[in-house]
Amino acid sequence: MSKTYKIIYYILLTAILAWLLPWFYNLATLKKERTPFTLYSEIIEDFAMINVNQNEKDLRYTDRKGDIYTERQFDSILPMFYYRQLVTDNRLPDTIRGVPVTASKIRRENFIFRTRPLDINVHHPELYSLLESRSKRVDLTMPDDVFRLTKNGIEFIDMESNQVNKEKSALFQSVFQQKEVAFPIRTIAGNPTNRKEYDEGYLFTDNEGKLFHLKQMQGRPFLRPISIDADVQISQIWVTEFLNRKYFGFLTDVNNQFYVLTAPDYSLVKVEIPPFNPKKENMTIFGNMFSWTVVQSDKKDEILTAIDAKTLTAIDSMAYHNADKDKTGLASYLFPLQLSFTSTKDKFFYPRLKDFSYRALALNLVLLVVYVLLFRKTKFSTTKLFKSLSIAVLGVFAFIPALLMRE
Amino acid sequence: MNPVITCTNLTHHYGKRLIYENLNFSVPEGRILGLLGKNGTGKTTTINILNGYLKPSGGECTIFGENIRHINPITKQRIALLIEGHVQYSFMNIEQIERFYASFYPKWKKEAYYELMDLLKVAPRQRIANMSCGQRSQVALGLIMAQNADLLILDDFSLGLDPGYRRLFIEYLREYAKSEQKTVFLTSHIIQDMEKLIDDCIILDYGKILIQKSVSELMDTFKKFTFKIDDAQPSLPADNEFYNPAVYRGNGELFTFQNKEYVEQYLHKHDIEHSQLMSESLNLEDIFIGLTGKY
Amino acid sequence: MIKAILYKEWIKIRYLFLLAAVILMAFTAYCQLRIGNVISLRSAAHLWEILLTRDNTFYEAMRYVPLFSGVLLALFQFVPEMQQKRLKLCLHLPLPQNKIIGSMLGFGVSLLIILFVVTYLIIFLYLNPILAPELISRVMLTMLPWFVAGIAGYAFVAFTVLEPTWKRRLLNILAGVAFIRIFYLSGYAEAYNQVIVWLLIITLALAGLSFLSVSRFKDGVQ
Repeated sequence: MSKTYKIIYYILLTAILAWLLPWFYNLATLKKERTPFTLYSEIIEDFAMINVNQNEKDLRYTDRKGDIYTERQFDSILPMFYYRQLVTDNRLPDTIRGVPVTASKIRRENFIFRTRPLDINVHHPELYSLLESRSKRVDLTMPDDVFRLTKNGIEFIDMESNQVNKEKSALFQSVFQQKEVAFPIRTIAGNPTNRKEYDEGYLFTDNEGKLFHLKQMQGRPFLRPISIDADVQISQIWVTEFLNRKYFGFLTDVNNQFYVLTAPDYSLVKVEIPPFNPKKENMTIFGNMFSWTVVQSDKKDEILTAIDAKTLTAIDSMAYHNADKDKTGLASYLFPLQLSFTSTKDKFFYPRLKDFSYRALALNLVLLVVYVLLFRKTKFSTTKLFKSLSIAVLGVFAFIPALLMRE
Repeated sequence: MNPVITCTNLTHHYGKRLIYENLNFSVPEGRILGLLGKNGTGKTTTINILNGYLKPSGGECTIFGENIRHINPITKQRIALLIEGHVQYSFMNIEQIERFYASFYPKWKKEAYYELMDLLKVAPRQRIANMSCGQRSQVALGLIMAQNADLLILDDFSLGLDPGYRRLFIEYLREYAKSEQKTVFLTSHIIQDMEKLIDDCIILDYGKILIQKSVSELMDTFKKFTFKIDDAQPSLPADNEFYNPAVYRGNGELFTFQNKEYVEQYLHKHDIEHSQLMSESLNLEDIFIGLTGKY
Repeated sequence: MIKAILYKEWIKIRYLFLLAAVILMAFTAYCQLRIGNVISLRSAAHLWEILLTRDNTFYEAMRYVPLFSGVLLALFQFVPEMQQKRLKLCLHLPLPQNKIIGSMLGFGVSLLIILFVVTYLIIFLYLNPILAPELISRVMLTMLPWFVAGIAGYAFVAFTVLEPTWKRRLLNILAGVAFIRIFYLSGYAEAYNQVIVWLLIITLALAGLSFLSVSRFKDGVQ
């Protein structure tokens, strides 16, 4: 028994070190390089960016070609983003690219859309609030019930009594049946909050991959099947509810294509950006009446695409290569792998092995030789063989426990 | 008769410090054997090894013919143990502790325990932790007697006992062991009163056994010789038969198993002028000091 | 004979067990009082909304209580065994050593599990009329790592206390702190869902690390 636990303890210590040593190392050395804040300018028809120097005070306004701007000039080449500054300075032009503009029009047309893997890779309780989208009040109010989607239906639960509202459930259920929704529901998205201008309820796909729009209007269900190309298999949905009311939502399919569901005509339009996997990448869209700057980023790269707001086709694109790496590269010589449990990309806890490095094998062999020399007087045993193999593979993580557990 | 305990070539180090090397001894059945020695000679080490609380550096011990590193639980029922300082489960009271141990030992004699407990003036619900050291020793002794084991191993039972309790303990134990024909192996660093208890003794010196003999033989044959000599004689020449020969202000003394003639020949051989050569018999404590020295 | 060992263990820890039960119940009651306040001062809907949109469970005050209980239980059970090396008495008993130590550890772990299961039952009975099953399971799954941490705390304190040398004790403490840290690494609701069963199995297995300490004690390692 104690022999088994000797090995178990050794393995435990090795695992702890594989987790903590890289963690301490990264804490001490890792510096995240920030990429410049970049937007597409419809004035100069190029990307414009703010370079932040290391002291973080010295801002440099440039465009991709390297032309340098003053802060004032920078405001005017990005009038859609800095319109409030321009209004304050009385510099807002009457027309931009031949289109008459006002501050309120710009405000209404602008939107910022953000999605992070962290918000998608998460356990959500599967209860949803369906707001009243045609209420007679100005402000939206939260409902006093929530709905759940079961294997073969929808039911509403009154929160105060914690009882199923049978009447309302039956009402919705009949509409779902009428519109031939195939249960169970695959993907559903909405923004269950009253801190928004209007409510578009939920977009969801059913078990056959069909797309639907669900709203509550004056207590009655509104359920609309949306015809989309049969080839498109929706995987992720966002209900947008932007001020411009031009879109119902954004969607991705299983091939990581990005689409807009336009309002009010419910047509699915592909956005001409590189493949986007919302489970792995961040996306930020700065939209205005002329163009969108779509920023897609993962750990290594940041890709920016300028999209024509009307046609949703690409105008231009550029990329930053993040130097989000250990600068000295020393870690790859020290650690054959790194163990971690959490990630900035999800809200789950589980063990993850990453950063495998063959370069650490040299150190592993040195440590193995040291171990064999140090313990040359102890007699051969399977435990010793096991420890030697562990050191050969796991290097420093297995070497330190071997020393610590020396009798 | 089969020995109950045998140790062969027992060797132990703590780190690099040698405690003893190649110790050989056995404890015969039905005898009370005392392992005597000064502090640090390895008495408790030996007890720990015998009970399996210490892996010796070398050598082997058996109890009832079984290797002590893997002793059968059934055999363990035949061995009673008193830990240094009469350590017991002090969070229990005397009733709880009796109930606890009773279930482990098929030959348990409840009366033997309560007989002794009646002599103590403690309440049955009093926790052992709140008793005096003497009372605790009686509880530990009572438990050992109730266990009704064939072999009793007692580690430094005299530690912390005042003379009254020590005497009580010795008398009770001897009476019990002899009437029930138990084998006892014990250690002590207080030799006083020990001759009333033990049959045989092993005297340990640093690193080795000085002597293993029955107490009666030891007391019959081991003598102290004193004599007066010239002040000029600073010390006595060494002789293999003599223990701790010394001169102090013209008084010579030495300890030996030899007779008076041998001592006279010795003094003559070395041309030592002397007078008033006398031998005296010794009690066990004096024998112990004579053998091991005062320092 | 096993029964006698359990009897001895019970004498050592009965008051602490009661204390741990009282502390757990007190914290449970406190958290539930707060839930009751939210309902009476705001509304049940407000409570649901918070549970649906945030990582809050309303039982956050209990985060470290199971760990505390586990640590205390192990201290009360094993420190008396190590004072004056009293463990020798135990190991002298006419039973196989693994059986003796195994039943001591098993008893401690079982008592903890009983405490925790009762706490869970109380929480469930309180929440059942108030919340939908989805939310109850969310609350309980989010709390589960804290309770497994309680068992881990017990396991590592026993492992450390029974260890005969201070140098190794320090190592055991560090390993224990690192292992227990795992249960508090993610503050997101239901973050541990995929692995909590494995963590529980590993933790229960690690409760046996004490066998290693006892074996070192028996070898007289100094």
